[in-house]
Amino acid sequence: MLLQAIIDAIAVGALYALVAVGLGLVFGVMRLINFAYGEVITAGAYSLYVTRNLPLSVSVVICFAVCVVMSLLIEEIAFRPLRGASPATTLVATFAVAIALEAVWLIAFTPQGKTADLLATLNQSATHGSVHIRWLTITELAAGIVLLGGTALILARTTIGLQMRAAATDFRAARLLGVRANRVIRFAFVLAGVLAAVVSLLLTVSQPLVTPTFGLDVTILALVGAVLGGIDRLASATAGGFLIGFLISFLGDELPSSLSSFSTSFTFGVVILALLLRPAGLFAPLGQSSVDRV
Amino acid sequence: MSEPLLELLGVEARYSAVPVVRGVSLRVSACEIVGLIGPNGAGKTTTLLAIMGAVPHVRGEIRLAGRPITGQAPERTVSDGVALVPEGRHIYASLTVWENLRLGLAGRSARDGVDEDLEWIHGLFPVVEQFRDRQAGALSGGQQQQLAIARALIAAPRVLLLDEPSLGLAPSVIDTVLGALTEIRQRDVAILLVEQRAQLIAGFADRTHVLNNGQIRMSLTPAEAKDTDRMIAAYLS
Repeated sequence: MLLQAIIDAIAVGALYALVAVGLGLVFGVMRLINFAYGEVITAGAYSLYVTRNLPLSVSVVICFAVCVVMSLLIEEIAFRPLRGASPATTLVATFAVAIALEAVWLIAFTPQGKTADLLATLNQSATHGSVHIRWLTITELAAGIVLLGGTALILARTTIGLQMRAAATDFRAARLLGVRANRVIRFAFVLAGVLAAVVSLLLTVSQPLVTPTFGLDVTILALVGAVLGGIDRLASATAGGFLIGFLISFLGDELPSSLSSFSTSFTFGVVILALLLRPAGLFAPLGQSSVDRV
Repeated sequence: MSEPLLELLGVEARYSAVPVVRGVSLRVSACEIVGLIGPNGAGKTTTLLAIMGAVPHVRGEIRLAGRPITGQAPERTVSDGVALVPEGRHIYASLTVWENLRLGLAGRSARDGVDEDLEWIHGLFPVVEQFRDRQAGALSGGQQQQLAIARALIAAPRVLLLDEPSLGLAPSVIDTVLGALTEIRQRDVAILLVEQRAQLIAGFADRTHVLNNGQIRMSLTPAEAKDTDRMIAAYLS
């Protein structure tokens, strides 16, 4: 069922695009690849497990709160003291945070998966002819469109969005105009936290078993997608994230069953090929070099 | 002499081990234009960036209306009333003219009077209003310079710092810029003007300091602007 596979792949792509935006927002203002972002998603998923006996709406609100607070705390505790440090130092710091938090999850929740299936009803299908569309697919698509559109609107229409765009182009010049660096950075982390919460919610529907590496896998794949698209710009990073999600899902569906478990390998094959041909990113403007990227 | 708005006392600034600015003292009062000239690498830009708080290591004292502002974050310096028109203009090419202008509002501490200020700025630089929705990168160098000054003015600064505003501009545009500065000073603004065009500025500013190798070598009045020999000596010192 090609149509079925395409629809599913678009939905998965939308989810990865959200993760890519979360990474791209922070990269834009800090030139920092935030490997700890996956831990925010994991934290949200564990919060869903912990609050599984509470009413759904309360659980969802707590998930958002946990992700936003977590995102902000990582910035306050780990990244702010390193402001002005070399890019290599801050990059290592994001690894340190990720690994430390993973240890925390291991201690608190053991390596065994914890079930967070609050939104399991979304796995039911709406059937139209021979096409079965899970409610999850529809929700992922809707969430992707609303959140990507919302982020784009915030960036385009609000003052803080304008300041973020300026900071992403030239942070030093923006500060010399009076743009408050910490405020812009904090806002990027808040937005990233909101996106992480939505990703936690949706991801636990298809993967209800939450393990300590729950968010890491999707983050690394989305990061690869963002680099594939061109992480310098939010739009191209988003498109790259979408593409990687699409490929993983589509290849997983369409490859012969003996090969489908290798869909990630095939995807990375495509990525390597694409980056060899267009090192600055698939969706980067023509002629742009990749020389001064960190 | 009136109380200076901006005062530098023995300011030393360095990025790493070697100081770029070595003991500079100067003062600028309201309604005054002070020039800072000197050869490449003399420390002119670093002096301005040190005032803004954008140089990592600064010693000595920088005062704004008597209050020390040495080493505080750039965004705070701006909201305290110091605006910089940076070298190379630093216009955001992908943003529109209006968006660039709005960015200047980030540093404004007074919430009211924006409309009046905008009207005044549009009067000074009509191109800013005329090309409001155009991408700033599509403007000519002279238009971008006017936008950069307009963007600094919308923050309602008490002290305006300009880094080589005449660089790469046609003579007629330079006249527009200098004419605007004359009008800006009448609004009680203190102006510190860094330039390469020594004689032009020495003749224009109320006082002009010659900076070389991080130190002020000489100070000139407009009457002395024609004293080329002295100026050359200061440049070579």
